[in-house]
Amino acid sequence: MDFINGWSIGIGIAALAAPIAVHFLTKPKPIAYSLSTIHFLQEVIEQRRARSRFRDLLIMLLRTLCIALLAAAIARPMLSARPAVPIAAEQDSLRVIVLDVSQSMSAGSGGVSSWSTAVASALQYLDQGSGVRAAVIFAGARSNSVFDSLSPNLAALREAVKQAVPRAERADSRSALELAATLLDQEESGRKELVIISDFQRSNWGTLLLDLIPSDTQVQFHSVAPHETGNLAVTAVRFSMEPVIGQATVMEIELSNHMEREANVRCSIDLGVMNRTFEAKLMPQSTQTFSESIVFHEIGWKHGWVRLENNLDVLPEDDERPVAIRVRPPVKVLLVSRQNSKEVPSSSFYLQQALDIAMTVGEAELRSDAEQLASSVVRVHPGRDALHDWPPCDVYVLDHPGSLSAETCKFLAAQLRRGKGVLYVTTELVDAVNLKELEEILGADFQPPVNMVAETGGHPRQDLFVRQVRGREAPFQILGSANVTSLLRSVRFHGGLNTTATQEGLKDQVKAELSDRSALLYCTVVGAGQMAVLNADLGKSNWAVEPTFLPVMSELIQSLLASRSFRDPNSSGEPLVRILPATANDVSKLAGETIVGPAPSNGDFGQWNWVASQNSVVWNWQEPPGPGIYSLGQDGAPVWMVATSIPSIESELSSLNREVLTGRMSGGRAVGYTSTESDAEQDDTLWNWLIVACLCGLFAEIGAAVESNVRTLLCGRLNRKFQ
Amino acid sequence: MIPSNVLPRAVETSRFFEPAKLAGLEKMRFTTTRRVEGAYSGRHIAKRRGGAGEFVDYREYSPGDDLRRLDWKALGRTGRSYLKLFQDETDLRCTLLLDCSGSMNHGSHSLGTGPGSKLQWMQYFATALTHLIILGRDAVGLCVTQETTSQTIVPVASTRQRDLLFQTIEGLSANGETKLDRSLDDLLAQSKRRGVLLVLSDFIVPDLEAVVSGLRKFRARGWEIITLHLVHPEEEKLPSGNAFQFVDWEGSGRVSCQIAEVRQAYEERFAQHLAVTRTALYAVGCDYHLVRTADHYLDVLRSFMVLRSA
Repeated sequence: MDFINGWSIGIGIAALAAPIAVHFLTKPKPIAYSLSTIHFLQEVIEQRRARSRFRDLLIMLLRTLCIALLAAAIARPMLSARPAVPIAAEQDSLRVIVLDVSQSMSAGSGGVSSWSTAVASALQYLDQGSGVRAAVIFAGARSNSVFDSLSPNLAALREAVKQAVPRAERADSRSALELAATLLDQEESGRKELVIISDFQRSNWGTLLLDLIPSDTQVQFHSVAPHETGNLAVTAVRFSMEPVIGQATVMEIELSNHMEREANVRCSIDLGVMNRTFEAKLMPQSTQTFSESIVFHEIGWKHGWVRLENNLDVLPEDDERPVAIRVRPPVKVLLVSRQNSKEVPSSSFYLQQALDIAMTVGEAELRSDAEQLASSVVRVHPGRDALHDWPPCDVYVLDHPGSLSAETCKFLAAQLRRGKGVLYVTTELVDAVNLKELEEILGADFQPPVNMVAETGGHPRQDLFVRQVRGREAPFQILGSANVTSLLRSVRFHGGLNTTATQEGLKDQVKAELSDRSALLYCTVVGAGQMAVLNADLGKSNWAVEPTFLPVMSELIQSLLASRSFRDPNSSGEPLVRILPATANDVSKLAGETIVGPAPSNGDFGQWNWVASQNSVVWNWQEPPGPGIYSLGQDGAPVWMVATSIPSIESELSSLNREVLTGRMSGGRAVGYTSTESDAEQDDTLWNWLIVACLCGLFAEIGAAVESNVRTLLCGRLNRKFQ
Repeated sequence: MIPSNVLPRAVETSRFFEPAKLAGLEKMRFTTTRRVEGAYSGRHIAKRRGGAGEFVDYREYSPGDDLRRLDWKALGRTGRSYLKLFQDETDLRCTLLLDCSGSMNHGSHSLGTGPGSKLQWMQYFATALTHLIILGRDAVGLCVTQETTSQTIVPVASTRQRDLLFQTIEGLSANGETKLDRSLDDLLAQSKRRGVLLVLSDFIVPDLEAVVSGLRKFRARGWEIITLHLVHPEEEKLPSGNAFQFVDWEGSGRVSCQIAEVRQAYEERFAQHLAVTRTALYAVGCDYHLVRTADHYLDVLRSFMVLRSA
């Protein structure tokens, strides 16, 4: 058995003589007294003497036991199982210490954080030892080791531990263990030891597996989980869609309460051009989303913070979250068609009319803006208008485009990858060829649920009706899920192409099916954009004149824009990849800038390169710092802005307990577990109470002895006086 | 037995004699409920009925009776012969048996302001009682019992006897073991006439049955026995304190103990001793009085005399 304060055992053994000496020395000095009835007393004493002797012996034993327990309580024996990895390293030990540096490690209360405890523990494990080689792995989003191999330079490792600070990122336990396994595998002889010092958050360490670690390695879990885990946090800030100038955008703020009681919070939104504050009551152990409707009146990048005000919890770092959002001009639609714009009725005519109305509704509030002076729907002829003359837009609508050139197909593919939307109305066989061409160019990015095939003889596509429709999903959701079938019952479709299901595509992507089981409409994600295919000739069908056409088309255009609408702030420490807009066309002029937050080490804002396959510049940043707001600008104007924040999982501080770590997580191997908080604190409390009880017993004994001596002394004096 | 006429003339006073305090008791007479057998005419009812004294009854004449007591008037009127009976009155012969064993010293070393030893108390009491008995013209004697010797003074009713007893009582000292039974036997052998035996003792004796046996012999001889059982307060309740080494007054026995351990059991044992003694003495026919020396001897004497006078 080990003792924390072994020195007290020696003192305790020496002190055991004290109660025995006290037993004999504190026997009261009798007062001589003559008594006539002494033979009565002798009779009584004969009966009582054996009992008194037993009582005296028992008292002496209890006193001795009290001293022994006091010494043991001060010595603090470690009753739990011997740790797999002792703190003091044995000779020729190969010790790898995995130190969790995730944001949750900075949690703490009363001036003591998990991190300070973890550093102290790590330094203990790195204490001097002859022939010991060790390594320290900092487990963050990207784990890194101080040295590339195990090193005998423990002083340098200790210094590295002292210099380390928690990072605003999660802990990737898997990569940390892979690195530890690599370091241990490099060694062949010696006692291999792995010490994992962490708070063992469920979210980070719940999938921990030790199968990578060499089987001859002794594994020790050292938990520094905080006793208090109540925490409030802003865990997400989202926009329902990319804000458009003049249009109301819903900002969703996700607040989490990881406490066992209700919490009243005051949350402020500071986006520079807009400041708001709201108060909310959060239920215990819940995550609630609050919505704020915001209208932006300027185009461009906006950034700011969402903060919980006056919130005193164990992890203040997650009480605020940066926001960076681009406010874009109104949606522009490019209608690509070979049909004559004046040909009435025609499919493209109906489409243009519907799109004009749909776009006008959304722009009603911005008539004063110069950007809105131009028409929202522009029509081009793929045969007459050169590709480079096509105006920039957000959604491409292709109706009777004829055979598209390879260049046009590549252009559309690039636009799709950049996040643009494409609506293809298929009516002719050439449309199937165009789609096939796009499919080949996009490769794996485009996996349609159906393939368009030529019309087979005997079954002309006419008078087709809607057989099945996904009324709960866009774009038919706007008709109401209960009424969608009845509303579309009178619609008859003509033209279009037969379809066959593909193996790669998802059947869920088919939003509506016609009576001949061919797909009427499907939507699929392509790169960063979305593509929808409407399989009907609107000129011959009666849908364009039905009241359901306009809302469905409007909703369809919005859904095509949804995929590029908003990106959640990037978690700090996680790799960041962004396809920059077409305005970022000169790589040499791009430069990173820190707007708010810690500057990246060595001014490294990552790399931005022209990627031919994407037909755009791609920004790749492996280790963005955070939390903060960083921009990539060109000629002083921001091209892209990114907000990095603490991963939301770091706010949930509940940790894995001993049983889980030594049972399920151990993978069948014997692992050790030590804790500096909960168990140790409970043990401390018990030992402290034992010390108090022993001291109380001893003081009571001393008090009784003093009182007895005083009484004896007084009686002796009185006796002498009267004799 | 020491004849009183050969003893030196005693001093008239004793340090235990407090005449001023006894003035209130001097009109009270020490008497007895039983008929006594005295040598001289006195105030106590004699056992015999003679021709003097107070008329009490008639009895038919029997041949041999003293014709001087024949009631001639009744014979003349009725023709029957009756004898007139008169109650004789005689003096009282009281013998004080004083226990002077070592245990009677108890209280002389008391802790605090105690009542003094049992011996002192007994000396005060015996002196005062002697004075009152002599004052009532009754004879009083003394028997002092000690370990080896017994001193006996025959009862005499005279002031000289009183002074002698005062001197003897004042010179008493308590030591040695109690030989009360032997003293009783000696006293019985020396006593020619019956009387009243007043025993003052703590009855802390090795063999109570022997004492009772001795008293029973007195009772068989027609003696009236009055026992005053002297108890010191510190015998009933052990002294307060922690640890004591108790030394026997009458021997070399020593016992060390802590008072708290034995207090209750001792008190129970002493109460048992009192009960056994009282029962045994009552059984013999003694008049038993438990006397605590914490009470003033005059109070006890007054109560005693009230009972005796009645």
